[in-house]
Amino acid sequence: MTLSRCWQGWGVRLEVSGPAELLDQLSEQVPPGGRFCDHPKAPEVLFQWDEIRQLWVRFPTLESFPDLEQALAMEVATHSPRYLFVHAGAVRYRRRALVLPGISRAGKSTLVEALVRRGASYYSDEYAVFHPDGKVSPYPRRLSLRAGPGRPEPIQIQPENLGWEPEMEPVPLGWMLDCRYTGRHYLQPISAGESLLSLFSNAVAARTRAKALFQSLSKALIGVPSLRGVRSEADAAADWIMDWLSA
Amino acid sequence: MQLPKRKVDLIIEEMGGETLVYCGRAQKAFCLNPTCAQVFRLCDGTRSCVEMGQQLDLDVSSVVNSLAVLQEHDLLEPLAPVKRREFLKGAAVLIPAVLAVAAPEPAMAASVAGGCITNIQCGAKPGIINSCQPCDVDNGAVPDCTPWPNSYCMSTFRVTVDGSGNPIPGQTCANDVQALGFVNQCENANPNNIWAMDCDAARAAVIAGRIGTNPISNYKCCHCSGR
Repeated sequence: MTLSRCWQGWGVRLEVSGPAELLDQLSEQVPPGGRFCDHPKAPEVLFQWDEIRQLWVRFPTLESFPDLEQALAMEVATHSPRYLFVHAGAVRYRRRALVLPGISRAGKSTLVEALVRRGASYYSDEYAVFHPDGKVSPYPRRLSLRAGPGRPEPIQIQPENLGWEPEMEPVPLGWMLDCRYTGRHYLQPISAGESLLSLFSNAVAARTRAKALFQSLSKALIGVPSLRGVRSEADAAADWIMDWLSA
Repeated sequence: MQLPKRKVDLIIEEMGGETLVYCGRAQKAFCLNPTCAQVFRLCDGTRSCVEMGQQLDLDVSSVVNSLAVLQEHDLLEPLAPVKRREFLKGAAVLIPAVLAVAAPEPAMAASVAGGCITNIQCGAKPGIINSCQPCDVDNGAVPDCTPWPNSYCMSTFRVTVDGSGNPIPGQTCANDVQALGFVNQCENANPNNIWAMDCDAARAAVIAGRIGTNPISNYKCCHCSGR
């Protein structure tokens, strides 16, 4: 039996259609921060299961995706008309956000988890969501830690177990830290302009919404200390970062 | 006479003493330092280098250097060949007055599923976002994208430049401007450990920081293929 469900969030409205058994888990696959909706009028975007190719197909563009959760996240991050999604980890500390931009496998999730264990509140391990006024919203998807040394199996942790609370509101950006794991520790201050480039180069809609990004990020970064470099193991790095945040 | 003029399709944002510029055609963003930004603002096609210098209280060589940097990054309308040569002569003492990053494709600014290998990022197969297919398991080897000709791969290369800042053949990227979105992977490995946002800036920083007794510096440069 084929089912169809409408979802909206972050200014995006879409429909997912597929076999009932595949849609059973849909509530865990849709991006955080949205809700299912009734749809007297069909949304413009439809993700439909292609039984033959075993892929999700996006209409009307006919792009195909093996993973629905990632496809929906990308849909929202790319097409949200108001919010600006930067690929980054984010935590909240003393009512301000620390944003950790970085490419995949830079060590964002591991560092976010270590920071949460030291008292920061979880915002995201995937996207820092910037408002036009420069504030940062939580994007509390479940935190995913890949398998690796000392962790034979991947781990997923629900945001509720990481200090995230549903009533958490957007907060001003407090710190920007652009680093990746190499095993050694070297961080140096960078200017606001360099910091903006760090965030811009990880922004999902950089090519289509450059002006909005410049405007939002330049507001966000006023007076915000920023560092760039490489970091050591997550626990040692998190200790150092918490000292930095508390200074 | 053709006078320096900004390209018209740029997005410009002032931020403290810095100026951010986005070029949609090149899909690159730039951060200009204060001097370069001052010169850039005067590039409206009505002023010569000398006039800019007078207006900004800068010597002409500083103006020419800034113009060379702007020209190098394609932020100015094309200049006559004579003028361009003049600028490039000034660029021999190029300072890293501009930081540049490439605007990523949406699929690149997202976590990839599955087993990409450290330091090797693999991109979208046609029509499939976030697919991940290891291209190369050896960080030191040239990425092999044969199975996925439309994918993009990245590896870091140690590049050796001679005393003039020219890459030594056989030890360098084919092209120093191949960052293509993996800009933060460009690591300057010179003794001062200056970080740079792209390969051009990395090289410029190496040259600028070069010590007379150490005419050869190494840095790493991104290399992408398959696009």
